[in-house]
Amino acid sequence: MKLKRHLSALAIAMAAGSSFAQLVVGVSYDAFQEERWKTDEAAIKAELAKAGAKYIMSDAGASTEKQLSDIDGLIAKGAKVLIILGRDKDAILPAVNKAAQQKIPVIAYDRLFEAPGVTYITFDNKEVGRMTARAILAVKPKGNYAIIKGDPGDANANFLREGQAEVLADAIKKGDVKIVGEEFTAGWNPQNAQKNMEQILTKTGNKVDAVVAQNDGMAGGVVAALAAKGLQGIPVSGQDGDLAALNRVALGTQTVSVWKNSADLGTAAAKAAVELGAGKAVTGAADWAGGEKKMTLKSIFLKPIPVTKDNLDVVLKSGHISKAALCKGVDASKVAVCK
Amino acid sequence: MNMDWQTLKRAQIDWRMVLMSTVLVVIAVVFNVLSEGIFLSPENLYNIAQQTAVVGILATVMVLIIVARHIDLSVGSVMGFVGVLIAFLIYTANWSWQAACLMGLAAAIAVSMYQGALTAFVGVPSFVVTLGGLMSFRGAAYLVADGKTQPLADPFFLKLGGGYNGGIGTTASWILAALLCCGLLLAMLNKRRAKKIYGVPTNPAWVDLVLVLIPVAIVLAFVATMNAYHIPNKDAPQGVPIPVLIWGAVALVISFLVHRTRFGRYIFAIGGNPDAAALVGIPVRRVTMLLFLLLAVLITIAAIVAISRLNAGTNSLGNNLELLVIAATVIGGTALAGGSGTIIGSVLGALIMQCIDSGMLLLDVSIGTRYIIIGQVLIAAVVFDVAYRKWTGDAL
Amino acid sequence: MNATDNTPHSKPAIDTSRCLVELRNIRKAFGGVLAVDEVSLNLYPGEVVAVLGHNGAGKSTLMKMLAGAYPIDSGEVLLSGEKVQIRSPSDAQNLGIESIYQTLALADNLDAVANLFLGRELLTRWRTLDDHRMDADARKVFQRLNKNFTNIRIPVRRLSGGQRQVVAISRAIYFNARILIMDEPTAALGPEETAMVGNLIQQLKAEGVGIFLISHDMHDVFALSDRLAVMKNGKRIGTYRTQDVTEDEVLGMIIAGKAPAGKTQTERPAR
Repeated sequence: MKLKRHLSALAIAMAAGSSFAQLVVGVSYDAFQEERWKTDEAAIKAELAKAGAKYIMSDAGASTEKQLSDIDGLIAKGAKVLIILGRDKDAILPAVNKAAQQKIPVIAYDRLFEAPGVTYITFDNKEVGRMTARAILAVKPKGNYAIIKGDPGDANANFLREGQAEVLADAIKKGDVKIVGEEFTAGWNPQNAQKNMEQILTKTGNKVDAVVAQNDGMAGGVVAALAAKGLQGIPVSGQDGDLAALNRVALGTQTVSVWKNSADLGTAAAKAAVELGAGKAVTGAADWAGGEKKMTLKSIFLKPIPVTKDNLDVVLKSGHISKAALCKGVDASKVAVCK
Repeated sequence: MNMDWQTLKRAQIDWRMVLMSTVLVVIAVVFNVLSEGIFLSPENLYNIAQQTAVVGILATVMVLIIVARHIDLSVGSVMGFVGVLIAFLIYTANWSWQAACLMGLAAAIAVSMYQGALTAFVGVPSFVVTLGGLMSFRGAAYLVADGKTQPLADPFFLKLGGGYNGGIGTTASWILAALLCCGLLLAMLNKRRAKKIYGVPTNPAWVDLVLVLIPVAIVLAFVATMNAYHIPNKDAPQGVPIPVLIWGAVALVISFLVHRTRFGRYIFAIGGNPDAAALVGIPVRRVTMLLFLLLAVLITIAAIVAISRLNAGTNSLGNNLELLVIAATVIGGTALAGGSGTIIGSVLGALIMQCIDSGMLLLDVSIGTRYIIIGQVLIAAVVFDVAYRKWTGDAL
Repeated sequence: MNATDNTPHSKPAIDTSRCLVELRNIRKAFGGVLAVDEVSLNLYPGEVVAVLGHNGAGKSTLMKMLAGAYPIDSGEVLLSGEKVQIRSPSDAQNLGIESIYQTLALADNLDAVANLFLGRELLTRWRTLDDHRMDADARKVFQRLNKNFTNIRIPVRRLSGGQRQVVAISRAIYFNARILIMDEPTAALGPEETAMVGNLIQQLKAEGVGIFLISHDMHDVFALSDRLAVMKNGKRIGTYRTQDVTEDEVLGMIIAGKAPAGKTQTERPAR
């Protein structure tokens, strides 16, 4: 009699215990080489800790193949939800399908890949593109534009380009804006961007009035190329809110850095992961079918912030950058936030 | 004038150099026509000169490494690590650029001694050691500044990378050209005089004259072109860009080491027959360590030029650079089996590769096609090299 | 690099009664294998001592120790009665010991002049390579050995076997070897070149040079050597005056390790 009671008590305790088993969320990064991913990680970790979930991660070191085996590893370590920063939108699919077979929900983080059931959480990259073009157009409504694009294998490079094309369409049709040079940059590498910009300048006889660069790293290379010909100061765009880029905005050599507060993205993704892990739907996600394959995915689009000379206080206030780093070498009399 | 084949053969002309130079000229002319005159414009040539300098600097020492039957796959990563370190010390730690560069040199030497000791004393193949270095130091480059870009602003330091204020101006350029041409002429005269004293047969005067006039003409043409490059909003033409000066100086010094010192001779001996080198008493391990030390110095120089050109130290600095450096060396005629290679070959190899890439960029060739073509050029160069060796009987 | 000057040694007056090289109880093991087992051997000025044995008998190893290529595990080397330490090829060269290896130890990618001076280059007063002096000196030495050898500026891999042999031998001549170790010198040579080597050996003997000759060629051994020593499995089987033994007896020693009956061994030169 007593034994049976003990055994059933034990069984109930175990059942109760398993329902409180910690949710394991696996995050697969493709490469830690861009500055910003550290911010994402910090936010994801914080949000998961708040919800009592466990964080495990892998870094594919810029290798598509490694990312596939990384995801296998995360699943093997017990991940019940996957957040994936996909390196290549097509090559990642085998891993995504494997996760689907094991009923593990997948979140496509920042970069799109399309598979049934995937939740897509990103900053609206097309909007980022629009913002970069808008900021440049506002400063230079007429003239020759050069466009420095990112890695050809990255879907984001195309989304950005689409957004930029939308904003520039009218001006191009009217003949106000002419695109005199357009190049992909292998690996988003700043040195390659510098070289590409130099060649565009030479090809066009330096008749470039504005440069739409798709990220801050490359914008740095573009500015170096312009400075070499004494052309620094013409409008240049970027994204990511890199500290060096924000400094350039304060200095006046870069016009805009579209800042995606990656802390917000990390938090949103972590929240979604917790909800998916509990079998619930993701709050705030809407249907979207704007990808290449036109697959309908539940998506959350966060709003990026274009940071120009006029609203530098935004990045200061959020703690993203220190005043010292923002204002290095800046003439305080010319820039209000640096006083 | 005795124009027979024997005279030319005995004159010790390296026909492969002649051919490579011709290829370079042909490439330039073809691209010039296709780009409607832009390729050979002073501005584009100034671009190319600057773009090639970093690869060129590293290729000169890579020749020696490969000649000695080693290889260094970590060159790009270590350069990136040293470059970010120097930039970090200047930007974030507020060191003077001189102190930062010395620290960078110290770091490069530490890395080289470590990799060199594993290769020379423990006997681990350099391929493996530097493969590990390739990965490790790419990681180290990231860790130095936590991935953050380190911009550079010191005007003197930025000159070292060329660019707006990075030309030495017309007067200095002509003076340099004059000195170099005099040097070439004196070297030739000295050689003839020494040969006479020791009773060694000399080439006919006209042969030596032609052999000297060719490099003289090249030097003058180059300087004239650099002096013709005038940035519109500046009041004087650029002259020779500083990175090219650095590259040229490095090439001359290494050439001197190869031809005129025991160190250079021993590198070739070790590459030709390591057993023989040991048997005749050459201190093989000491020579190898010295070679790695030289490598460290050049990596530091290349890193300085690279970060000043980019005006920043980024964690991806030098990514994949080792491939370009090795390709330039091999295109320039250095045999991967060891024992054979020239410095001037590495210069030509680097230029050929960069000219093809720059030319294709001018013509808007897509990124995928560009990479395919460059890869095939490398293969074609090696095939040619193998065929040439068979023809001259130098087959390895 | 080592700071020795590279001028060739001056030749001391020849004292043919003093032993030139005395190897006493030389021992060398590689891992667990005993390559040279307590071998003693003498060499007097102006004589040729042939060292014979199967492959792996230890003769090359013994000679390489004398040449400084391998360190000696135990035993002594005396030169003209004085104990010497030979720890590297440079040590051996400084003592007047020159070797002509079976593989010739030539760097194929360098020319004949560079190979002759390899490791002991002549320097200008600014410590750079004195190419012209080396060229001139090399020409003289090569001419002495082979008047037709003029292609001294091409990589030695393009030379014939005989010409490569000339380059290797020239090292010994230029640097005034007192003791010469020749390992299979005529293996790759035709009859004319073999005769040249034979003449050279006679010349060197007349000048008081002592020569160790490693050879498989019985004809060469009996034609050129004054004494011969046979090794088997690392041990010395016996040392005899060449004129005292027959070819069959020598073969018997090499193959079976049997010393011939009724023959006296001698460490004194054949006079």
